[in-house]
Amino acid sequence: MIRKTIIKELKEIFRDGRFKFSALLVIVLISVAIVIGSSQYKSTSKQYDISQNSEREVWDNQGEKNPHSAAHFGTYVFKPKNALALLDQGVDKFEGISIFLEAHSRNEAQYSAAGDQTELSRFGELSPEFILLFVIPLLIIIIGYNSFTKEKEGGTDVLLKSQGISNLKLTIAKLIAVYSPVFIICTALFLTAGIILSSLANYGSFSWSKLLSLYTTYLLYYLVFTQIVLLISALAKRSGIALVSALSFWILSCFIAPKVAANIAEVKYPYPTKQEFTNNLEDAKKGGLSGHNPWSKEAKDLEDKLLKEHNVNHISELPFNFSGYIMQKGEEHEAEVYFKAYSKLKEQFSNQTNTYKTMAFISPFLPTRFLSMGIAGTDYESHMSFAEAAEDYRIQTQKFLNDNNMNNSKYGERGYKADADFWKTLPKFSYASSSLDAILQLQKTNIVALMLWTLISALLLFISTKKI
Amino acid sequence: MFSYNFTYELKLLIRNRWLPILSLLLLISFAFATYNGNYRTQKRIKQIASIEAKVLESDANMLKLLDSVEKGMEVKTSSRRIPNTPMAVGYQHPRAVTMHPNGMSAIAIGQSDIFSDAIMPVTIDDDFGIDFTEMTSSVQLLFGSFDLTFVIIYLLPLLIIAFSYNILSAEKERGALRLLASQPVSIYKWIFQKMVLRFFWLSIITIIALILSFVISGISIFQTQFIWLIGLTLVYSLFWFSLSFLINLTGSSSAKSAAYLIGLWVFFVLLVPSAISQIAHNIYPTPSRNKMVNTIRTLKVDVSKKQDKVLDHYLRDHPELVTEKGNENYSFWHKYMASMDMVEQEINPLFSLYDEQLKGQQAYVNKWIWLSPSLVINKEMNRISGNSTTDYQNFKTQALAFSKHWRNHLIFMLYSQQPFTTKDYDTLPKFTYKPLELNGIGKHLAIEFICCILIGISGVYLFKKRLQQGVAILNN
Repeated sequence: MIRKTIIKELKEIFRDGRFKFSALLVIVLISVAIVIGSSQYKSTSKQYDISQNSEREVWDNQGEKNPHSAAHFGTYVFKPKNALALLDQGVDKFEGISIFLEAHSRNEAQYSAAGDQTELSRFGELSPEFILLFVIPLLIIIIGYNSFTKEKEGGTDVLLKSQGISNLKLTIAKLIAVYSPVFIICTALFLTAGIILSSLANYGSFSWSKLLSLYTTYLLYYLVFTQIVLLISALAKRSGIALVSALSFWILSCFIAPKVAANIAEVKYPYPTKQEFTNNLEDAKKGGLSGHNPWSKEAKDLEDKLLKEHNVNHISELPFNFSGYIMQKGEEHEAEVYFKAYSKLKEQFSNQTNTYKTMAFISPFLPTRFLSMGIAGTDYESHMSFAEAAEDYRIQTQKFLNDNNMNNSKYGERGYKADADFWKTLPKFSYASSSLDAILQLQKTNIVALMLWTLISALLLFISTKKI
Repeated sequence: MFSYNFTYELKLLIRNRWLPILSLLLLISFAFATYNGNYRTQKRIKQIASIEAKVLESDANMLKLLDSVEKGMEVKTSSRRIPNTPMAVGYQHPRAVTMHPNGMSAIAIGQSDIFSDAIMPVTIDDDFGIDFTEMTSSVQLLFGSFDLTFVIIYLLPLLIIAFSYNILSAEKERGALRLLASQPVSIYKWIFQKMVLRFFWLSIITIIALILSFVISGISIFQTQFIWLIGLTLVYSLFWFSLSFLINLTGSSSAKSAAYLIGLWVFFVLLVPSAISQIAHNIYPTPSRNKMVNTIRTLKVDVSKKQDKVLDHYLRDHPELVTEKGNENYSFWHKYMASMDMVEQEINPLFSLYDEQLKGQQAYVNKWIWLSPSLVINKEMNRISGNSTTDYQNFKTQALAFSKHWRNHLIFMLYSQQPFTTKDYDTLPKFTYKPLELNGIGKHLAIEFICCILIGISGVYLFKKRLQQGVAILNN
């Protein structure tokens, strides 16, 4: 009986012009989005390799130079593009793509794609994630809104019951029927994406297990939507009301909830403005040691301490050059100041994240959104982890340069220059995105929220259809 | 008949609680959105005020130091921090370059969460060294803000659809249409009257909700732009009412009408804007920023290798700066500024490519804006708020020009070997932002209005044609 009901439902769905039109639209849109996305991904990855190498070449070929001049000359690191960004770009567009690493300052990543686009790009793009997160749920509504109401309106519910089908079986059949077209579209889509990504020449960051997790996330998300649409259809008396209610749910969870959450998070846990942040940093730096100011009280204290430790009377008698030493100590102090400032910012962000997590219980969109960009490696945490890796590398580079100055130059020597080959001995910057396990660990709350949505919506659906 | 219809409709709307629900929903959304917009505006005003205070403080400090130096007193500051040289002033005492939010800034967050409207360029900043980005959580940028633009463009049409999708079909499904058919009134006139009444009530509620939201957030409603805001909102509502009128006249069932209207909403609000944005971006792609970084780096290395010749080149281009004392008086700063100038000259064509591409995208968007009224309203609301891409581009252009002016002013002093004195303080350049002019809104409103009328007329035409073809509205 279940099989027959499914066949009947599917026939009706495939016969419907609205379904044909919307499904075709979804397939066309997503194909275009994937084709555009993969060609962009290819060129971005290629450019990333070129830029990384070119920058390293510039660094390696500085010639004879004072190490601290090289520290100010600095170097750039570039953020690699994750393969799964093809399916979900997350916040990538709003984050910078390269970080300038120099002495004394921790710089923010520069050049976000959003900064180079018009305000219209804020409306959304025809990207795969737009289709996956917004349009496919709409397709589910179009397929399923009248699943139960049409039986009531056409009087066929009585006929169905006279055939001896139980409500449970009827509901399961309808659920399978409404879900299967979406399941097929989603499967085909992920399979295509997997084939395209694994065939790209440079797919170092692509992993099938991540793709599979992303696929499971979306399957669950669509299951939640299907169950809710059917629940609404079972409760509503007329198709019109069912449709309008299902759409209200869609708009509330996909459009309104994220924005409201963002505004509440911002008001409750505000970010500092750029100027505020910079001013605080400057103030914090002022009160401490600076490699460029050996006349300050902090410098004098350090000098005294060092003289005592080495049991000498003047810094010229130290076994190393004091100017290199103080430069390194100053750098360490500054790195500490930045670390504190960014930890505070990170704390504020984690407070904001908790607000989003709380709101996840009124919208299945939110946990899916975070889980999806988390797995794709395009969330804020991924960006942060890149920025932190870059900062570690900066600190390491400064020590590398200051140590050279300290151990090779003499006290009072002004024109010291390191060898032309010295720069090549600096280890290269490397950054790898987090493993799937680490990501899933970080996303625990979102996974639980999505599971709860699936279970509760299923439960409500089966309870409410008990008495139709 | 109109008065009967009016009374009946009003009773109906009050009895089924539509009017109170609609009023409450609109008021809550408008008030929350205005609050959010105003929150952002206040944050920006605070930031600008703090920067201006910082400049005042630093100036007072500078004048005090200068005064002491000029009176021959000893000052306890490291020599490079004493503001008696133009470069020390240019580097340590920058001016505040700010764009004050206008009185209507709260209606659209626009690009104000991406770009900063307060910077302090110093003499060693070149065009690509000045960072115009604001510090906002990227998740917030991704989700966007619940501001008035969002409520009016996204939510208001949905409320209108829910408020009017089943005017004809509900009567039909309830069986009341048959009673009505016995009355001497044509169906489209009757629907038209119902629509006009609903539009009338929605307009009243919208105006009251907007006024209340502004008053609650403490924003003045006595500004010309507020009238424009109301005008835009009403014409946009009228557009959705006229679409709904058209769909109602097709005589479809409630569910079908709702599906058609939502389809139109998805088309106008989601698909058209994102498609146009995507196409604009594909036609005018942004060149790779990574590549730009590489080019600048290589160029800087080249220039530093030619360091000795750089100054000669520079002085050849700027003979007015050559001093009589000869080359030996040229310091580190002379060479630094000269090489900066050289790098900038070489890199400017590449750098301006980004602005040109962005302008290209904007021009493309403006060309196709008429495909969706949501785009027109979005553009106009952003313009009124002063937070559009164009506004920020305008600020950026003026800020960069000022930065150059600031640098040149001090470089001239550097080359003429003048010390900086208290007298020179008054001649320091100051920045005043000139906002873009706001014109053409009336024209755009008129065009939108004509579109609404055309939709209405085509609805009536189609309906009459169907009647002539003998399609029974009552039965299907």
